[in-house]
Amino acid sequence: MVKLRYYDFEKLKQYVGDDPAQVKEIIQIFLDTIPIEIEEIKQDAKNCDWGRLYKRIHKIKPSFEVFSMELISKEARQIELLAQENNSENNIDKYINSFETQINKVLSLLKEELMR
Amino acid sequence: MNSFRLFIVEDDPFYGELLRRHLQLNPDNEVYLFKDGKECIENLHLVPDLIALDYGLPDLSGYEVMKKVHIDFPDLPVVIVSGQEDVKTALDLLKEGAYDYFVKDNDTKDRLWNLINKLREKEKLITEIDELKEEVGRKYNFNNIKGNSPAIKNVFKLLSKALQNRITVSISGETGTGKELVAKAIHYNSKRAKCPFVAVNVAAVPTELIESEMFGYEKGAFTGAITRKIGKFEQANTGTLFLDEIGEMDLNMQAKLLRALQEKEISRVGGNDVIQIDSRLIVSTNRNLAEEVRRGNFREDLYYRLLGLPIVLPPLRTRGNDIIFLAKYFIDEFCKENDMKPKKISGLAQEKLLKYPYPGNVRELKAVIELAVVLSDKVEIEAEDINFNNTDTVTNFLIDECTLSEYNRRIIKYFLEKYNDNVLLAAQKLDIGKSTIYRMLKNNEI
Repeated sequence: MVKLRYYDFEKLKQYVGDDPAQVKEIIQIFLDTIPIEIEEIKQDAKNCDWGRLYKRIHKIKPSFEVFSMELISKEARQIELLAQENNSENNIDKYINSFETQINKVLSLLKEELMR
Repeated sequence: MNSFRLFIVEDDPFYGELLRRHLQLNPDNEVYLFKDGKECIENLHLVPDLIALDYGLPDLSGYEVMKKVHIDFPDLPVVIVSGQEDVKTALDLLKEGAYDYFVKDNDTKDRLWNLINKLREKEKLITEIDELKEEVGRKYNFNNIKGNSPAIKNVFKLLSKALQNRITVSISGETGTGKELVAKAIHYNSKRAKCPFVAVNVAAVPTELIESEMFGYEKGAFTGAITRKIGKFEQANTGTLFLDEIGEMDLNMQAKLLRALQEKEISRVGGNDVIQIDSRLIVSTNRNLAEEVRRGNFREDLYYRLLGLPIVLPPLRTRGNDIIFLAKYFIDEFCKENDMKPKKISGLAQEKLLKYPYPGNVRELKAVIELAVVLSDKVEIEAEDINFNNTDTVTNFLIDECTLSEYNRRIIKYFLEKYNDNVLLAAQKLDIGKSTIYRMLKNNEI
């Protein structure tokens, strides 16, 4: 059975080269910044501030693409579209929860990578 | 190679850091990362070579930052990097002065990398052009117009006057006196030195083409005009237009030139647009233009408009010791250019040089000297190494400036040799008495 990959470092290495120290440093920045952004996104949703939410998700979206996190990127795009609708009736919370779950899964895997 | 200073203005610390690290893979890139527009503007004193600006910043929009940057640094390239693929926004930003518009994706880093290389290459070319311009300027420095004679000193005096303003300069002088050199010296020592110097040899342009050559033409103006062509006047805008051999211009074109100079504007052939021109004019001729006006070959009104500051270049034969001064200079230059040991010039060779009238002036002297350097086998150039190629045999004969009796002797000797020592025939040809020849033979004069 093929093991599902949540991410890979190929694109990341295109940015910073093969130096493992550089790769680890970038992963650490990702681990430091993304949880803060997720918290902000949840807060924006709670405040029904769709404009801010849209800007925030739009801003962090390219970061997931750097790690080839396809599923998370897809969910981020979905949230971005829903935020654009400025409508609290569109179950955006459901998507944000799923998004957060996926992110947390990936973050813990990345933390493990750093431990190696 | 000099370092290339890049500002990345990006509020996503992860993405900004990623770009910074990527672009720093080239150690020549000096990359600064700023989180908002304010930080970017506060650091403009670092004078970046390029700014990569996120469009959606938290404080100011990318557009606002770009506008502020361009107040103090109007030529600084600003690239907008945006997560949105919005063609209208991109076009608007490009219209407002953005250098480029990149959509934020996995290729952004490569686009920036390529852009930096392109800008570096451009900067290198600009530096090379500036260096070449300076080199040309040095070449046409006044110091390179050689001579100490009163005649050339007067020219120097007039040249310095020509630099202080943009007065039209009319240079006259025989062929080879250095009219174009003087025109270039004026341009490259004037405030317009960094702008174009455009020379037109009026005599070399066919009459039917001169108008389109000078004023340019629009596409379709005539058969064969498949694209718009910029004329010499436009090419020389902000610089200097040098019209060599202006005396050869036909009367019809003279009228058009006069109008262009009076109105300070031109229209391309086949076009309606009026184009303002700001080019300094320098003209030259080896004709006596006043005489051409009298003969009706040159418009009087144009003559006075072109006269401006007249500089008359003296013929070399009137410049006395400048001949030797220039000869030595040409010897040194030629030896240097050809990796030869420096050569001197003998007293007799100098005397020979001073006696020749140089119908081709400095240009001819240069050619004579270069040939002499090549022919000379010693460290010193001798009289026999000096060869004049003047086709005027009378001039060649008189060049030695002998006494009349010496010329008599040479002529009689020539005729005797020509007619196989037949004294009677030689005397008949020269219309002199045969006893004259016999007497000279007896006295061993011939």
